[in-house]
Amino acid sequence: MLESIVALPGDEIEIRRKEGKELVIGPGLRKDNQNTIVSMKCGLLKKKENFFWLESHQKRYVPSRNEYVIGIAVTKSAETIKIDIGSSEYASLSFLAFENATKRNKPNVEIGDLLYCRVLTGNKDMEPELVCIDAAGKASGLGVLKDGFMFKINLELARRLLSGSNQFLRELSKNIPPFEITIGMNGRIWIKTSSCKQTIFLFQAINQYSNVSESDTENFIKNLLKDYSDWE
Amino acid sequence: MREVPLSLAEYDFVIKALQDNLRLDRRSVYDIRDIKINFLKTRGACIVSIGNTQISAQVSADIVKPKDSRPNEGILKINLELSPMGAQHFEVGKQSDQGVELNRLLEKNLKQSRFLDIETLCIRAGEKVWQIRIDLNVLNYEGNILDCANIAVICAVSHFRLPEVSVTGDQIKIFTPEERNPIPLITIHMPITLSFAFFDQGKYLVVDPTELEEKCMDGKLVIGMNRHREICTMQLSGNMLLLKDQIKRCVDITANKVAKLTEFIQEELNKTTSDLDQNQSVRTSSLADKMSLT
Repeated sequence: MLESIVALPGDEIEIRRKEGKELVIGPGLRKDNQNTIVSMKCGLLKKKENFFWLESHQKRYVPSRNEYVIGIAVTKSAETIKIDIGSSEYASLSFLAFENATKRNKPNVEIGDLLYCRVLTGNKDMEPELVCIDAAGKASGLGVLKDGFMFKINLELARRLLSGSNQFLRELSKNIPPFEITIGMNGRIWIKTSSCKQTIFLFQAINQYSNVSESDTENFIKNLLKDYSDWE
Repeated sequence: MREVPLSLAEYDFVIKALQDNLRLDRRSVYDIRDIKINFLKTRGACIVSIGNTQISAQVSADIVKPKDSRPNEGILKINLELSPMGAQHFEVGKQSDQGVELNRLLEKNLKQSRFLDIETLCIRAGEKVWQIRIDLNVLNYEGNILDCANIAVICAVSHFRLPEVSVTGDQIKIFTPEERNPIPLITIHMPITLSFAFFDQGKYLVVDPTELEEKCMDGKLVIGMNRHREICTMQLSGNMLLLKDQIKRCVDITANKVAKLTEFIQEELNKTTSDLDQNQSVRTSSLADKMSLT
């Protein structure tokens, strides 16, 4: 993971990998005719074993299967709800894809509501489809997000915050009153706190965090908390 | 691309925070975001930003035939372009309602208040006058395009230099900058606009709304004023009614802000003029050069 090669669109990427294992290339990379790997956007080359991809400050979300996203309900029809998840097209969510939903017993979703859902189909030629249940038919946290506040960040930051090794939210939450947070892979974050001030604090803290490296996190949190107590 | 819809949670939160006198960027309700004016090396070009809203302006001059109704007046054209570079829902080519409104307001505030002395742009009455054109491009949109664009026009026009022209008999000669120093345009005053956003039927008010606040607001009041407290524009849009006292209060706030802004713009202009006078040789560099440097 420590490689820090900066790639620009069209750059040829030289990939050193262990022999014998299959090479997997992820977002931002493409194999061209001459069997060379070419980058398609600007970013940092990252690798994990034999998996390579480019990390950039992209903001446009491209739906992909089994990712958890936050969407905004845009229109309702008899069977489905159209949802904006930040992709080029609206996603559709069936009224039956909620816990305990039947044809008679529809969940209560208003236009403008926020929904935390899982992407069921994320195909480049098809409308994305969402569900609010897991494989066992349980909600397990998915569904309508009531109250709180939602804001947008870049996709890379969302992935960083969601990765298990990231300590930022864990450390931050030890020092401030409890709050609820949901991070969507589409770069949307929903937070619910007990006061407006805390929400604004978290909103600014997360936005500023996008420019802070992993090793500076501890110092950054210290400064944030000092700033917060001064503000209060 | 279509615009990202507004969620109920965002709307509710903005209103709730305003009840506590809070805004998402921790500004007080009467504060304007930081304004930065960046003059480029060519005359009449600048990039102005209010917070993260950024607009570039470029002035150009042409010699044209004047309008028949006003044979001894030059022509001032202001053209604000909302391109997808600024926000995903801005489209190229066709003008949106927002685009029309903004262009109209700029025209109202600057052209109709006679910001530029267009009679001095006349070369020969009824035949040849200068046409001053200001092209504005929204580089990034985070609310309050109007105030930003308005400052950009004022700065760019004050920064611009017009080639000198001499008329002898039928001959009109335009001098190159090497032959004779170009002359500044004559501005009469500085009409600066200030936008107020109202929420909850005028119960809450904020100055310089951000993108989210613009989406949540019930209505908007735009006041254009110069530092002599002369009102040049006033427009109330949205579906909301205001009391007389509220408008009076907004006018007072505007007067206060306009005094400070005028001073700030003047200062920035003086700074760049002295810089340019010291270094006349930079005249040839273009917008692209400047962009690659910064």
